[in-house]
Amino acid sequence: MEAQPDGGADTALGEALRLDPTLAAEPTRLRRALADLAPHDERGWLLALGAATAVPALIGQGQAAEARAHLTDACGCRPDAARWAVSAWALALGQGTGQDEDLPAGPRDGASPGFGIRPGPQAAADEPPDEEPGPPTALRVGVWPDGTPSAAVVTMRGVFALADLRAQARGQWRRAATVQAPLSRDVSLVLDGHRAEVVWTDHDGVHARSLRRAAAGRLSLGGPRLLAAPPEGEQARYPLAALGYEADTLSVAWTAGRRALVLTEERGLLPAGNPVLLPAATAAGERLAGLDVCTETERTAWLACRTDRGRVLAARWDLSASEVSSWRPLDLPADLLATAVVGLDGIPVLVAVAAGGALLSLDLRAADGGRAAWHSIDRPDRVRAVAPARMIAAGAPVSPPGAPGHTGWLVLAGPAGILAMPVTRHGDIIGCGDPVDVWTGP
Amino acid sequence: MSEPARPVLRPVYVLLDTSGSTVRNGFVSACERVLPQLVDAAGQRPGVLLSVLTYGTQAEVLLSISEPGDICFIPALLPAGLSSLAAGLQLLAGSVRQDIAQLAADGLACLPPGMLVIADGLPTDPAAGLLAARDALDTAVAGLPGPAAKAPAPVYASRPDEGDQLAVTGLRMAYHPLPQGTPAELASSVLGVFEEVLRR
Repeated sequence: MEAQPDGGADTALGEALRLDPTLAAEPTRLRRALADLAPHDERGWLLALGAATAVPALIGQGQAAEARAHLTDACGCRPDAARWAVSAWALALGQGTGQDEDLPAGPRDGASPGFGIRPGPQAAADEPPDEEPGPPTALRVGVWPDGTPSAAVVTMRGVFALADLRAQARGQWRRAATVQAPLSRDVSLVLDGHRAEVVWTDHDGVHARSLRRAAAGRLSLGGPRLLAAPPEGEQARYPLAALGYEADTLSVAWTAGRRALVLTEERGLLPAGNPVLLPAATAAGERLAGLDVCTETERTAWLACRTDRGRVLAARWDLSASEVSSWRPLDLPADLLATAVVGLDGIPVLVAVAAGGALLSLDLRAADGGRAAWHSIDRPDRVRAVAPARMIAAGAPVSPPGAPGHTGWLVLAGPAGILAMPVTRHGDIIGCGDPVDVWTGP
Repeated sequence: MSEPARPVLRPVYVLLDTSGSTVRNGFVSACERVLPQLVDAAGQRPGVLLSVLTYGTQAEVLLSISEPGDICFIPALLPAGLSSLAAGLQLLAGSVRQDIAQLAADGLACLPPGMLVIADGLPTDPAAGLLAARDALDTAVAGLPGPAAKAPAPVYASRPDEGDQLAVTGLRMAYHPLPQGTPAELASSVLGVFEEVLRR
């Protein structure tokens, strides 16, 4: 039976796809079909917009949340409108349960129907799609030029970004992507004043989305783009490190086989160039386990990697010459579970979690000159009281040292959850401020 | 006493969009208003036979080929469904073929048929299906007996919409833009283009 002319666009969508399944791939024709089947419901435009922005494909992949985020971020839809559109698509594609909040609104009696899902709390007009990332499998921190610390995580549910670590995170995480085999992926944040990007790996390559801080402390994400594809038969895996420099360059060091690192650079609006092989960090049979980067000056940066044999190596990166030095193995005072690098007051500092839970730091420039001296980071009592972290991430703004807000951030993740704390450098000593909990799920 | 000479017949087909969206903006109202006027206009021209077809998700014959003077009842239009011009063109092709074959079998010669599509925007068919239906109409016309096979391209009358003219060109039809005005203005424009079709 055909949908009646006075039916809703959500009902009409299912009828249209039943009559002609190819409509899902042709937004303009779909829009005309919805105008035919629901002539008094202008929300057909929104469903056609969903068709134009891959919403059906995302739903087919079980990524309804990402589809909602895409409509709000890339298309400027209100959250309630995006949720309605995705719910209508899910139902039309046979993916909706009809029992959850994805259920589209029932028949409307007004000429200008809204996007309410159902009466109750879910119907709040500006309620964003809540995300519960869950425990991270990869974690990164970035600091905006004004000192606001942000985070990005990979979890078993996808790649997520958070605008402000200091604020209540619940309801603020934004999904950047849903990736295959999350345990094999990594994420990085670039917040250098010129660019704000979240970069991640997936089976089909290295991807990025631009970030923008929107109203109410929320993040808004641009459309996803593929920066680099792995060789045939391989995948982009972990680790990954990304860096922004000059006004328009995004550099990403990544790996397909966890042995060789390659560098992909995207300049301005140009497509990313071909990957360039970086000096080898691993020995025969050895694999990369971690990688991080921080800027030292406008023209130099430092890379640090950790391997599956417990080695930690560092290399200086001459950005103006696009040259990375040979990797230098660091003498370690203990087994290190996790490492990260951060530029504090222009000093590249490696921070690490030791097997016993101790936090350590090392001035990489001094280490490169043979003057390596590890120092303990004085952990707040709150950190001492919990089980050792398994992940560490650090970030600092790229604003000049001493500028207002030039405080770095250190984030630890482990069985006790995620703790974020401000860090400052006093000579060789890194001091931590009071930690705050970062919510990623119940 | 000899039988008076019969005028040569001229079948004219109107293919009318009755998809669900025609309830908006007065389109179906204009069509309901203009249909009797089309019958009258056709009746002013000796030899003209008129048929009205409609298309939504499927196509139907609203008025089978008739002398206008014989048409005393025009069924109501029931807007519903998609805009399958492909279904309409397939029905038009079949009607042209069968009607003119029947007239020829009755010993009645026909001039090339006139064809007018009155649409509320572009159709919802996939391009391939639409082009196949258009080809079927060409094939049907080419197979008509005598001069009827030289029928001019159909006229596609529609309100200007995105890509209408380009799409209609691809369908090998002449485009006539309809106004965005009131049902009365729309009806007047439809009547005007119908009279052009009668004159062709």
